[in-house]
Amino acid sequence: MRETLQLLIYGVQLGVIYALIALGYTMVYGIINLINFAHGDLVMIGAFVAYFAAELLGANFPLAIFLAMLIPACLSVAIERLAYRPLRDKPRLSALITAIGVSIFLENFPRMLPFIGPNYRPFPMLIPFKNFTLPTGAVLNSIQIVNILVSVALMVALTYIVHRTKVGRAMRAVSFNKDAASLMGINVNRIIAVTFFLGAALAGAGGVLYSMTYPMIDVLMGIWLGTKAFIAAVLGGIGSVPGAMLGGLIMGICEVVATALYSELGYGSGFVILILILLFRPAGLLGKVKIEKV
Amino acid sequence: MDTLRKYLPILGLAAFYVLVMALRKAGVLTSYYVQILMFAMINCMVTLGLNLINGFTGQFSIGQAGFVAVGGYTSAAVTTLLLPSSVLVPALRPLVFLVSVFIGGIVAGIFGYLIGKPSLRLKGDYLAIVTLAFGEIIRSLIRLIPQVGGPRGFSGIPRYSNLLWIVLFFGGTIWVLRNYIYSSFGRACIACREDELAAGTMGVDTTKYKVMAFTIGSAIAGVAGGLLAHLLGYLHPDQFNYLKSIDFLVYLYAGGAGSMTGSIMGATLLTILPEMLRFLSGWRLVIYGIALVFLMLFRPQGIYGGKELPFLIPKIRRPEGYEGGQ
Repeated sequence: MRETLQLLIYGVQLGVIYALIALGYTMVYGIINLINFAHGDLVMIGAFVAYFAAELLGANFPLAIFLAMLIPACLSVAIERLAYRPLRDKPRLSALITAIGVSIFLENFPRMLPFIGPNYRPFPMLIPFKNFTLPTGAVLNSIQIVNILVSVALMVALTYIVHRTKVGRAMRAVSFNKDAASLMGINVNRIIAVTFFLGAALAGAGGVLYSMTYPMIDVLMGIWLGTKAFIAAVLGGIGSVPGAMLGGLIMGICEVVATALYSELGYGSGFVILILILLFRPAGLLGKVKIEKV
Repeated sequence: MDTLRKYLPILGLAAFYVLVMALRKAGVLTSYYVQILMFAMINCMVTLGLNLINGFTGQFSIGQAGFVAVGGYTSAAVTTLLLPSSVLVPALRPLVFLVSVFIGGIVAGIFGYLIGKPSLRLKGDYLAIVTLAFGEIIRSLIRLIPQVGGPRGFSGIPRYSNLLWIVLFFGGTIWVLRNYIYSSFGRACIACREDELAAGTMGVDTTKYKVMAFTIGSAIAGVAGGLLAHLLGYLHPDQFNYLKSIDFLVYLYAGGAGSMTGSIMGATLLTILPEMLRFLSGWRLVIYGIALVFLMLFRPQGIYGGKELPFLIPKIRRPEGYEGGQ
């Protein structure tokens, strides 16, 4: 029982991070049907921004995470403007290859910069580490608490933006039907840029929280983190915001439990679960099946 | 004239082989260059197979490296564990190699069928996601099998592959795919790509053709994997990660989807280009990334998208006195 609870804590801690990153995938896919391969690398950029913020400005968690959200978000808007927008009316797969190109660039350009380089770097402690023992015997540490609280806060904020604000309503309208939204006076380009901004901000935050938990960062960390988060987004139903949150949690918990059972199983387990879920619910857990009309 | 046209590709490949061997003998090409050429042809094969799935049938597979891994490991298991070269008389070795490569292809094809059958019934990006997951699951599974080296990698595979074998298989792939694409099966595939709903309405069993194309494409990837295994002499599960699959996608779309010429050009150019840019060390990948973005911005259909060199289009035989359109 104690062990189960302990595993659950680790799983939730990892799961909320996957969920944060998955939200960016799901929002971008929901709005322009693009699997944004460069999204994982924005996670890495977020982690590096926080690293340098801590090096230069001291270990200040709110400031580090703010910068780590802002800079990838601006970068993402720039990428959308320069690399994706010109291809919006072209075949869908051209944009996908562009996304791969951007991703290769984002991984290798920092690698060649002398102050970043290809090596692993230890991530600084942004908050003091402290263990708390719960009445059941499980141990909860301060990083886990901060991870979970910050992630939940960000997800609540995103849900609020999507469902309760004018921009959010416009986002939902654009993802429902771009042309109709445009006829209703919505500036589609601006709304897509906002979507990229929000998604990348969450990815940057996810990068910081992940690096606090596993304090080694390198330029390729975004690849696997991004792939798993993408799988989480699909699992929950791509295009669905609550789906991405649920999918992230499921992925995190499954991965931790499978690794605890047998260390080699951890990596593949998420994919097996994905296939099983897709067999029975092809649109993901909370996704809607689209009905095709002629 | 027609006979010449018919045999021109075969003559061309033979001439290519003779030329490379002559240059190798003359010392113009080192074995390093020949090796790159062989890799380029193997990459061409996988890309051509992927082209049948993504380019001609309009599906979206992003886990092709998984099938290369299945084919490679299977055929390597046959030649290394089942019939090791030490128990064979030298004359039998090429035969065992040939059989093992085909077994690799068949097993990869079976995997393709098993994956394609449930996921191709659905529309949308499901195949993409399932193939992505498949590639990663295969990698995890291989790590769990100690007989093929597990996470240490599979070493000691006899190096049976050489330029001749690879040229033969490369030519064979082009031949099979060309005939497939310009048959009624291929037309059904293209119909699925253009408009699945309309194709279904015209009586094309879309699921059947999609699964068929996917199975053939996977089998070709498996054959290429067999050749690769016996070229490298060593396989490691991480060689076939999802970045490898992405490489094939890049070859395909940079070259131009829906064109066999495009696949061959894309795979060859993009295999040779990074090698030529080696003097730039790490910057070459930065340039590669930017080049890819620019290629897609200014030529979204790829280098050779939608066009075909004439010898890759079979001449359509018409009955005597046929008049009318296509």
